[in-house]
Amino acid sequence: MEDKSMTSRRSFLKSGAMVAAPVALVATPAVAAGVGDEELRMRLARMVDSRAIEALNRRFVSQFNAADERGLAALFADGRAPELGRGIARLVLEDAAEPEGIELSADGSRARATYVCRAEVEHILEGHDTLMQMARLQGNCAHRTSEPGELRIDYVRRQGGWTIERVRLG
Amino acid sequence: MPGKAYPDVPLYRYDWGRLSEAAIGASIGDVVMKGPQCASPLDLSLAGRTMQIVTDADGPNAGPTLSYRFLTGTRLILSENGGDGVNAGYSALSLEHLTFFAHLIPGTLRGYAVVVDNRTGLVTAFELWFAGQEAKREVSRAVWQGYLFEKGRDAPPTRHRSTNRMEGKGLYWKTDAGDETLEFYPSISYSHWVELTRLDGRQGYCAPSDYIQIDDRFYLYTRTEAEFSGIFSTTLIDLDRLRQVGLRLGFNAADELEYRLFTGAGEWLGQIAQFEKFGDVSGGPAKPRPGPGQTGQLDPNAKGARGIYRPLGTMPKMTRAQVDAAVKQNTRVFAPRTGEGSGAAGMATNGLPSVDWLAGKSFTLRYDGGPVMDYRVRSADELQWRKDGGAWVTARYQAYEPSAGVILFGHVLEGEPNHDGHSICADFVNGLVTTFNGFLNTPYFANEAGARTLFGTIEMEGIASPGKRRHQRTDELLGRALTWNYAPGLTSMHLYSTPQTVSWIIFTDSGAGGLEWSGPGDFVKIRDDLYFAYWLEDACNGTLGTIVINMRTMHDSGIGYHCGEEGLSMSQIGAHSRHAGKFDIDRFFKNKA
Repeated sequence: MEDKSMTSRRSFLKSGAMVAAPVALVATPAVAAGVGDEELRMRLARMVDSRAIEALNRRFVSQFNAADERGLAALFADGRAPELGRGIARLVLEDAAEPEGIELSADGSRARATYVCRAEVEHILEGHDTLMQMARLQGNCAHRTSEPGELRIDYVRRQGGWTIERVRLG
Repeated sequence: MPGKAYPDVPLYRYDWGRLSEAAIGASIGDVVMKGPQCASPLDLSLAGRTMQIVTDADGPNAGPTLSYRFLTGTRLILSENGGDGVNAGYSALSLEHLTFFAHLIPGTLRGYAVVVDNRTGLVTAFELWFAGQEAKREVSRAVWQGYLFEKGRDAPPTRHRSTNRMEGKGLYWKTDAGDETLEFYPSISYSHWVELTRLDGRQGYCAPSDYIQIDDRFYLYTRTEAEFSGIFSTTLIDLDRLRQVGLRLGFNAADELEYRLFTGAGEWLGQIAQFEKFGDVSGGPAKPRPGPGQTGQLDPNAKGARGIYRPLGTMPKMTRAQVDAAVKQNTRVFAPRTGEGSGAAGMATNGLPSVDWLAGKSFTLRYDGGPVMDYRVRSADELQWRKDGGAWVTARYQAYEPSAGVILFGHVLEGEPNHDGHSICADFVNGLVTTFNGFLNTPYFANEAGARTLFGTIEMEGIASPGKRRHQRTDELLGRALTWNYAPGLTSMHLYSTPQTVSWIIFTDSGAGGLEWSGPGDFVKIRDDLYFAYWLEDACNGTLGTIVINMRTMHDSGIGYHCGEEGLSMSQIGAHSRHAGKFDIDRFFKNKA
């Protein structure tokens, strides 16, 4: 299922660039570019999909960072929030990183994207002392480190729109 | 069998009745049409008014819309979210431009306490319900912020808000019913209180709390006596004029429903320091947050969710036989305290280095009323002791020097039936010693430490006899709050709220006071600005913590004594301190210490 062919590689754009790209696409005269109606329609459809996936991804990062488990779970196809790894408390997408792209399957039902990111990892307060237990209960950590990584996300289209099928942090 | 309304034992020792929903419902049925009782004149000015309150969502939970019609007397009709109207009794009090009213809802285990700002139209509504926690008697609460809806008028842009502006304050209150309490607000999500009249005032307790700012003078405070009676109280406080009106709702130790409004007058106890960044006025509550390493099913999105520390449920409870077996199998004296991988030393990361000052010395500690302890110290970490002239026993120890010539050292007394441990503060300049004698096999849980305070003298070549002089118990720490930074991410604050209480507050990562708990304590003056104190984690973790507090170096040196399923341990404690301030409470404990 994951190995369905991915076509139409398109740059993954973040933030301001996300808006600019579609404008540029639409502003290019189709006839001048030698693009037919069907191709234009498909490109527009892919653009809409890409924007929806980018928006979904922003919500994912935002809700993960807010530790909003319920909101996070609602973004996933199986309705369950993911386990990214021990102590991972926050994800920061690298604005300056080269985009890795969003790959859409030929039938438009699936997508995959890779994002360069940094993961902030909380290192736990270890020990069974009462103070440690209380500190952990309210979310304190010994210290945080920031580690580079890649966020690989598989998306699947459902009736209500795009959802996340799987997230891996490597 | 329920007994007195306010028990003679500490609240954490009382066997609180497991009330059923039916029993709670029956008690509510008896009072719901009457409304809460009150010893002060009620505010009847709401009669004839209608009020539509619109509240905001709190995370994923939609806030209720409450439509009130106040009838004559103390009756109202409530429609929730456009539903059918329900007739109920209520009571109201006013505090200047603010109206406070409360009621329960017939046929349910629910009710509301509502505060309306008649100038701004802003409202805080506490939705209250029984049977929302494992102990059904415990009142749950959700805090809804909103406003009075008026047709044709836009919703106001502001709201009452959770705040840290109450943090660090302490107040004495006397209500119209004559109840006197000391209340301390050293946290944004918890509070500490001492019952001076309903209880004997010896022990202070902690409870999850809310702090809501109405304006610069008026604040709302709540307290839910979780782990104890489960009683909920909320007060509307005029911080400037030290007056309050409030609600008390819940079942006391006699399983009687207390459902009353009250007024009260306060006295200022003081303001201790806050440790958030300047400009940070954010408040609680602390949402349940399963942090790294924390297990447990906590839903931060549940209605009214907040972090509640429930230590008794998670404490291992061992029998005497289990304790004997655990101690025999594993007794660790000054071993590394933390689990694999951290490399840190937990509560001793900022501890003093151990010293070899005692090595090669022999001396006797003669305690008033016994025992007599002889010592031969072989090295920096090995000594021999004998009790009352008995056989010599070799033991591992560690020693620290929290003040020049004052040595804190500790060891376990292997072979003693109750697995005693001594934490010894010996002043070799003045020839005086105070020891906190920890022991196990205590009456409630055998692994819970008890403590005796032993005063005595040091007999050693070259030390003059102190005669009848001894270290003395002291009230010089009473009311003080001292922060303790043990390790990165682990900072607490002690609050010494009675001559027998140590309360500890855990700071959040942003420097706000967070979860809080308390236990019995004792305080001894060693020298000027040098104190020896202990706290017991009764019905909590069973630990005996002992520390020498040097208020000049602002560093403590301590020894912990703990028994759990993993065995008996004696270990180092050490932290850097800041003096957060001192509450003026001596007058409440004169002749009581």
